Amino acid sequence: MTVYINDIAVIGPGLVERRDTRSILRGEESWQYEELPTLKPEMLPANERRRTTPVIKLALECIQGLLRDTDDLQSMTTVFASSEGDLGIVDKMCTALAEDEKNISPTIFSNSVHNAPAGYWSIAASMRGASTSLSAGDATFMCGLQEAVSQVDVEGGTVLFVAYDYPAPAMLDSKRHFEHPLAIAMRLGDTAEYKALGTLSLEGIVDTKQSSCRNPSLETLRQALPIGCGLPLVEALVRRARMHVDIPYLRDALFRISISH
Amino acid sequence: MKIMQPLSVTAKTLVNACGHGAEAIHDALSSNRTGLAEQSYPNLNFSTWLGKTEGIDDIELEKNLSRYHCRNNQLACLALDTDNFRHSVTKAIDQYGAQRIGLFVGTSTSGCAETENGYRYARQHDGNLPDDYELLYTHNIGSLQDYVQRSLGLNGPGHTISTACSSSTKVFAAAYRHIASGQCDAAVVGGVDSLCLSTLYGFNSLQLISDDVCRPYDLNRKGINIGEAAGFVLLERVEAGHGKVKLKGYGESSDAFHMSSPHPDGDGAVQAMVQSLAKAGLDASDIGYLNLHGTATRNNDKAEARAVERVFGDMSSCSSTKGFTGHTLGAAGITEAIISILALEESILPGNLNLTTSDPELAIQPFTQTTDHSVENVMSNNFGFGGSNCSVIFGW
Repeated sequence: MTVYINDIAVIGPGLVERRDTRSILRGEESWQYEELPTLKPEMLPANERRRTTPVIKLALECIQGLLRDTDDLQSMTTVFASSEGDLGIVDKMCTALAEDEKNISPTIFSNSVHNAPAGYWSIAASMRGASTSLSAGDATFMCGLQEAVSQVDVEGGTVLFVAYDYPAPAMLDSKRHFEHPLAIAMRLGDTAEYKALGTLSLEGIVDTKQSSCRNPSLETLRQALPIGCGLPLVEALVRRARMHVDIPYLRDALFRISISH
Repeated sequence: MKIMQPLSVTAKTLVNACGHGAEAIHDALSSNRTGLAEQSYPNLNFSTWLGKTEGIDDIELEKNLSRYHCRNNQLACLALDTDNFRHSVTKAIDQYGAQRIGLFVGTSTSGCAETENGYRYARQHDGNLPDDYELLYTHNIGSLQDYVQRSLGLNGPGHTISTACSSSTKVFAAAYRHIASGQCDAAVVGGVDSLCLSTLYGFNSLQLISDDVCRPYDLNRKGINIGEAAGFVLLERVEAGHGKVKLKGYGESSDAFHMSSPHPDGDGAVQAMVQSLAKAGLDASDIGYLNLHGTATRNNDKAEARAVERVFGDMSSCSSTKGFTGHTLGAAGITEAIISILALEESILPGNLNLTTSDPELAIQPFTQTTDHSVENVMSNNFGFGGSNCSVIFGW
């Protein structure tokens, strides 16, 4: 099963400007920590943006760059993959529920669903096609990508895939620590578009060790949270390399992806 | 759109407020007996009806999986222990190999109650969560797939879908895609959602919870009754399940309209239903029974009735079964899929409980009582927050 990767986008600390990000992913520059600025995804109307959280903004900022003016919004599909979703919202809800009054605002509750970013995205982009939001613990990046590739293979067309996670507020952070926020998005399709980055094939479970980043400065970010495991893959795509990448999978296994042209 | 290759439903299990297992639930459906009751839940300070599943608290997870302990995974375990489901999966593992069986499950809140309890504990313990609280193994959305995969000894592809109330309808689409693309030969699909304060107080903040028993499609409907449920289905290629009910179609769409209200004309719902018919190669007139999403909120039933009218015209062979089970949220998809499968297997058409006064604004007329009748094909609808819609079709 082979699909085309027609574009990628990465948003994280020190990875906000597309051109700089490409240089870092190509290994021409070092990655340096810079606090993630407040994101304002322009696709979202101001009134919707006010209701959204940093997690939703992160996912939308990353995916919005992959949409084309010519896209068929009726049929194009999306896959949103996040291990923990919005722990900031979980913290707010559970704090309120621990009090006697238990007052939850309707907006917080609406934002608490795992598919909140996908919902805001479909409204912002007027996308009416299928949309999946999923998690697979620490294997979320790989299982999300596998679903996206399956969609291209079986349904055809273009699939936008975004994987993202965001650090938790203090109390939950003590139980699940993400050092940095990160989002990685890919535009997958059954045909090569202008400037396609390469093809991707799912190979299967392997007994090796997880791939590391070629640019050593990115290792910090790769290890900052489970979604970071996708960085070696985007590095390889941006460099137009032919190689395989081994990514954490279900039941503590590794899954091999190979990329080619 | 390409017609899909049907898959056979070769085993199933479900537990909910109506009982444990297909026989108990068939019996409740046949006798129009609801599982809903006006009852309490720890720390719940308002009055409502709930669809509580009996026996969850007594379930102990496997010793080596004890860190997955939470109400949601206990409920999953209860369903796996019912209707000989584990045995059916073991047989499938012998036939295909554990790596060739996928596992796709849905939930909306996973083990959220653990975090709620943890925060209550923290309030009295200097802001520290309990030492044994395990976010990744309980509340993480992926915990459900991870627990069930280990519990059943499966080793194939999969994930947990969480798209609110369409979560465990969409598992059928994901499983089909992984089988059709050759990544597995069979798949277990399912859904589990358990009672927690987040959904009770959350829906209450939106004024969508009824203090009365829920009355889908009734003029006097006042909102939902939250229920909890679990269900699993084993899907295999048709050759393996000769003479069994088949998954024939699925359709998925997004409303692109509002986070917590459906599109008023049901545009997204129409798209999901039409797509599922196209995937199945069927016309609307081929559908003998439609299991409605029918949550009993003013807006949902109105938008769905409009959408059903647009697809089916004058549709009378339909019902919402939420009057039996309550709205089981992330488990509604699998619960109603299995009820639809039971409708085919047992030749019954489930009634729409608590519908006593029809609403002149709604163009469709569900059955009020369960009747004996055989049909060829059934459709089940589920629509969720974020505008996530999914319809599935089963048939002979």
